[in-house]
Amino acid sequence: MLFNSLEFAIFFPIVFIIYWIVSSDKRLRNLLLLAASYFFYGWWDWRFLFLIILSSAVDFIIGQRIFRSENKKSRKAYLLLSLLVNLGLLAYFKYADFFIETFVDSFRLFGKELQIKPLQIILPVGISFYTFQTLSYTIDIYRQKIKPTRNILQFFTFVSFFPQLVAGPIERASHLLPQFDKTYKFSYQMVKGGFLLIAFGLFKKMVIADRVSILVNEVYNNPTGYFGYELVIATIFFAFQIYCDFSGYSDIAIGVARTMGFDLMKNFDSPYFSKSLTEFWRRWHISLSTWFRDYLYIPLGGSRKGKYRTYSNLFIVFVVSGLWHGAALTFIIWGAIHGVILIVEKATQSERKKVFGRLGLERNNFSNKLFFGLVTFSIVCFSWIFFRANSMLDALTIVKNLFASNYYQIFNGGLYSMGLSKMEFIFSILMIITLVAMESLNGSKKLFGALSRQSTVLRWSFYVGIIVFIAIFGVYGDASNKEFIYFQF
Amino acid sequence: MKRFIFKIVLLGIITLMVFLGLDILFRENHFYEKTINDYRENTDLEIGIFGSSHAYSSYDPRVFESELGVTAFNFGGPAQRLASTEAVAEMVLARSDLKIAVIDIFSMSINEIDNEYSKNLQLKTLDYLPPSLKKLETINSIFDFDQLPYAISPTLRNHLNWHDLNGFDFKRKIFFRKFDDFYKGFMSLNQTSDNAEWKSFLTQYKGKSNASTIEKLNTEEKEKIDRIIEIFQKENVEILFVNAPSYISDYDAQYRAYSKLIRDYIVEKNINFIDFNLLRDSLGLDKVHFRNPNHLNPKGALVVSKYLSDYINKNYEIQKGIKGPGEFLNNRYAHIKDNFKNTFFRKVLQGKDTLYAQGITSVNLFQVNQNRYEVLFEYSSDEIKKIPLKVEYNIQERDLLALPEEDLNVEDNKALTYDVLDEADLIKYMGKNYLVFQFNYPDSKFDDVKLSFGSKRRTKVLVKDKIGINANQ
Repeated sequence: MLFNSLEFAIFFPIVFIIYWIVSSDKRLRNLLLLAASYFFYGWWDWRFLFLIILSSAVDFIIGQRIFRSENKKSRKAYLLLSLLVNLGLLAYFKYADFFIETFVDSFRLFGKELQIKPLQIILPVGISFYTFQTLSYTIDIYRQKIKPTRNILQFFTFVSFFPQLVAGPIERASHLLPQFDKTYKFSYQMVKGGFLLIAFGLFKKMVIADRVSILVNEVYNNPTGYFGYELVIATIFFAFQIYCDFSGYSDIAIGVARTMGFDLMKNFDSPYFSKSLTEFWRRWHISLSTWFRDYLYIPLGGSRKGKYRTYSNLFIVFVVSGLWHGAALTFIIWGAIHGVILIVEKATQSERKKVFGRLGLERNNFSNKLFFGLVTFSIVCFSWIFFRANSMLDALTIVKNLFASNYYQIFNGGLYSMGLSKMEFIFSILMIITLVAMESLNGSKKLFGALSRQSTVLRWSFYVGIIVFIAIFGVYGDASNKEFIYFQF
Repeated sequence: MKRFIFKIVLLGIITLMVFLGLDILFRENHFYEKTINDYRENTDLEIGIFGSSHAYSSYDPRVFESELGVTAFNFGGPAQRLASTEAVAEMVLARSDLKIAVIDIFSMSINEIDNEYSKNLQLKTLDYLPPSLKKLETINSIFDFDQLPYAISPTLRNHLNWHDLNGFDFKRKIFFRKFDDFYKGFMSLNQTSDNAEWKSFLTQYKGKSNASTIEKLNTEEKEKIDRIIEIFQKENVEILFVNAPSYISDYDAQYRAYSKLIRDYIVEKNINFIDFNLLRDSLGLDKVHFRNPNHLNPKGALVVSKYLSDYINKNYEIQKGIKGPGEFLNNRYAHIKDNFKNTFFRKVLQGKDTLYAQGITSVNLFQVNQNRYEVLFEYSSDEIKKIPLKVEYNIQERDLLALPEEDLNVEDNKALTYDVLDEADLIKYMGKNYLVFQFNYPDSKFDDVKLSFGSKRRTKVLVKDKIGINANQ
């Protein structure tokens, strides 16, 4: 079930009402959330519910066993079992075909044709997210950071909690699990805040992401037909598409959870205002980057084993992160670009500091922020080419054609022949500027705060206005690309 | 919690009201909007006509009004199925003291709606009906669950067309195209189909089996007929089912079989049924009466409506002559019957007039719709001589977008319509010939219109404020 669908528009109010009716009874409330979450997930394909149940059951039992076991070896064995089951499921459903195809292709390079066909496995929605979430639970127990829960209902609800089940934020047990053990009182302000966040998320997804995606799809699906500025615009638009798509989803997820009293972790923090790639990864998909930091980078040794080991750890983490996003070479290259640039940033940190100091670039003023912000944004956009391209060949074609000298034609009407009419194009730019302005003013939080201080007439006009605005200027219906990009991961 | 529920309900109501307003803006331009607008201004009526394009092309309320002296209205909509007719009927019965319902019915009226195109055509009717439970029920019966929001709200359905919106014009003017002939829901074209159209029509049936596979109406089809009968009978409205003439009947065995089964089923219920396909020869209907092989033109509609008026007069208890012809100021047939006593402008031509030499004995001007006028030329000859016409007037910027392209000479903000009166414009009523010409005029003040006849060199100009034809200029 998609957040921007009619089904969800019916499903959620029903769950919301029943939830607050039964909210005083913790058990009943959690039972409702579990049933609702399974219904939400099963709407796509009920057969994949068994995977979540299996993953939940395995980690619930293993968590208990790890905790009870005093033998280090057996604790490790249980952890390995959890890793094997969770990563095994992920590997089978997400990577089996990729590995088979890579295997066959590599033999083909040597002139040998293997008769192995891909398994054509359907990828269960959200598998990358919930397997990481359950893994964090067993690993944290193993590390003795948390104690396992004895309440199977709470644990199963934690794994399948519908607001963040299919595209995150990837929650830690230490943060989300105890929330299922609390009782919540209905708070008008809290619920209102949640709904405003949902509206803001829908605005990002439907008004910006889905409209700019029309241009992005047109260009990226015909990479040989576009050159120079057209590719630059499509790539910048994609940067905003993926941001609005994914952060919009996160906003809706956090908002939906908030209307029921739950607090999900922040997933985005105005990432395009970052002044370095290191900062970018502190602001982009925070729940995933911190997951990789805690469960891969640090176990690999982090920065404790010398600089070369740090660099290799960084590189490994980002290549794995690329692979996590998709079973394709393009994603691996995307991860590798980020890895390499982060290594460069780290390796040249002290030298850069000296040079910047002499040039006056270290001061935290607007022009410096703008300069480093634009440099970082350009690097991020360049890497998005590999992320968005349909194949490695397409990505290389785009990179090659990016430097075609057609920039003098930019105002010859060519801007409006990439899938968006003049009006739609200008509207998209205006919406992006609005978003950037909002983010620079500390985003939705300040806006909502300022709103709450206004008169009832103004506030209500805003509420009705935002609904009408999304209804008129959003892209939905037959022509829309309803799915969220991160669902495929 | 109570406070929240109260506020969310209130927000929902306000948002709904806003959407209902926006729906007016986002509805597509369609003549059915005019049908419903006209009906709202004229709910006092005795005869209502319901059905699809067959209905709105075949049964002309002008003829009923002129012949019977009662008000009639045509509620036919594109591909309107009986399911949609139910919602229309509910609206009419709630507002009018209807006496007779004329329902055009054939296979399509009762068949299951199995494709998106036909489904969407129902919205051409339903979009313009006022909000009601019956309307929602009808939409629900036609559309799938996930299509419902789009079917209910034109705003949601057409939201991507926001760049086509012509400002916030909630009472937009509706203009018709050059050949359109619209009156109280009746809508046809002053045209006859050409040979190419007939050829293409016949090609569709080439090699097709002439045997029908339909043997009886199924339960759903019967239920649809039963429901519409029940809706009208409950309100003591007499019903007359009709099947408009269509050349499809000659070539499509399935169509004929359905018509027979429907007729048998209706007659079994002691309700009158007229199949005009069986009367085509006796009424003298031929290709010249059709704008295309499936639909009559106004000339054909006059013949059929005249027959139907006589039939109603003979077979139904209706109080004739409630209104005199002088009360139907937009009705050409009433004006003819009334000898043009109440026209907006009338000029009887004499021997020295050039137009008189072409057979035109009088020129009569009256308003047919809010933004449309008709010139009715009394014509003494049976032989048609082509008469070129030109209408010219200044137009305000806000009306520019609404006018059909063919009316526009954008260069100098002038509306300019050219036409040539010919065979298709000729009607015969009360033993006389008339040539019909209609044109758009957006302003309420009729003061800068130039209506010219003939070639450029021999132009005759009609200027309303001078009330006269400046003949022999």
